[in-house]
Amino acid sequence: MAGPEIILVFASNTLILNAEDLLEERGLPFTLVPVPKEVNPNCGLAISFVESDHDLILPVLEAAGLRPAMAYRRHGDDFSSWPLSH
Amino acid sequence: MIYFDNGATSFPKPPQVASAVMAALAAPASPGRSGHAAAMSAGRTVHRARKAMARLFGIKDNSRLCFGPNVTWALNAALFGLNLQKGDHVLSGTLEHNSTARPLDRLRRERGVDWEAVPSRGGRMLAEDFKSRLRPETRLIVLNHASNVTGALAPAREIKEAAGGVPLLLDAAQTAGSVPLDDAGDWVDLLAFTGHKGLLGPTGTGGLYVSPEIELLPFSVGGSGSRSESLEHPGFLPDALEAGTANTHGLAGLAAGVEYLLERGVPAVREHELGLAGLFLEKIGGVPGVSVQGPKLGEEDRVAAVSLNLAGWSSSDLAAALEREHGILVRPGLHCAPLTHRELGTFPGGSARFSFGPFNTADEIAAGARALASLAAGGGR
Repeated sequence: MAGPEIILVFASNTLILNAEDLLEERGLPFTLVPVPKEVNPNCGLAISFVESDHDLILPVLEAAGLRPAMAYRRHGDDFSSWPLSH
Repeated sequence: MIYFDNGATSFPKPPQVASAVMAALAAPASPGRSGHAAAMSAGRTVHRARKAMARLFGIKDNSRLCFGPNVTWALNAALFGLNLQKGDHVLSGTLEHNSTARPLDRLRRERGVDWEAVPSRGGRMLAEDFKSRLRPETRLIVLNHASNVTGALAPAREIKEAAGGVPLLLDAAQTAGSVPLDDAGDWVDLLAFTGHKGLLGPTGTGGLYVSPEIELLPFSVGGSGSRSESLEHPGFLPDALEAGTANTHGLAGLAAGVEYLLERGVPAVREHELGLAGLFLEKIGGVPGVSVQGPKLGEEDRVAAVSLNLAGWSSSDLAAALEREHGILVRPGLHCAPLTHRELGTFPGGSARFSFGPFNTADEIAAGARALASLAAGGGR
């Protein structure tokens, strides 16, 4: 993935799969990845996308009421919290 | 074999149900428990079932649709999850199955919940009879949408409208997949269903829809694949009610069954099944000694279960003779619904229930009626 990556973690697996359906339906660029254990102990999946695409992805999720529980920015091996109010 | 026991478990299933179960069995992994491709695929399998169910019931937020092993689980999850306490008043019908009556009886004995079963009028539940019994402390109305004994359909929406805001827990065991419920998400507060009857899925599948106004305490907690860092079980749905690994294999089949129904159309299934029930009642109309329990020929507020007794026969002997002499499978006895049989005056011997499904044919109905006439005329003894 080119550039910093944003990882959205949702409370439940159901929400993540609803998010996957929605983003796929809209043809938006994202991948489904395991939740990085470095930052979050959840067993499930997360939505990952290039940071520069955040203004494509976040409004679509927001409009559908699919609000991530947490968001992280990954740059190489470095993770940091990422504010959702972009 | 002629199978008239769809009220217990539907048979046959659409062929794609078995294919979907086999495909799920042939794949590894647990849904929501890992991030690898096989786990993702299993998660999507469960999600497919969730989406199909949400479409069937007109539910906007599919995360409020929780899967469990059957409708009994769903009714228990609702009745015990509401945290009913001493003095709380609960109304139900009298045509309830033991899956509702036993949890309510336990709540009455152990917690002092005031459970009142509204009597039927000739086997019919009426909205006015619920309305007149409402009290300030009424916390819930539980309703069997259709009697699993007689097939009588309850006026669920009317009862909800008469309830003055009291939540409705609808037991859709006999109606999901057989009666259109595509707007249920708009008016039902708690909807309990099972996968192996009208939804044409495998046994071991079922679930509960919980409307946004209702909060339930989970009565079973454990692994959820979410909030793993905490000893406290998550409070959000569906995880709150889905402790432990889901029945992915069964839910794969349920998704296929419901997708079949969505394609064929529940109204078309209903028309077919009502047609079969009507034809059966018409054909047995002249058979001497037959008494039909519940809705009669021409009454369409019913599902396709017809209970009857034959003079001189116990229900179990009648069912055994139908199988032995004619290869016809029906269900005798009390159908786990003693309250209903007491109401009908058929307790404790019960009745023989013929319950038809989407794949029964008019020829099978004719064969069933002929078999009954033959036994009534003295055959099979």
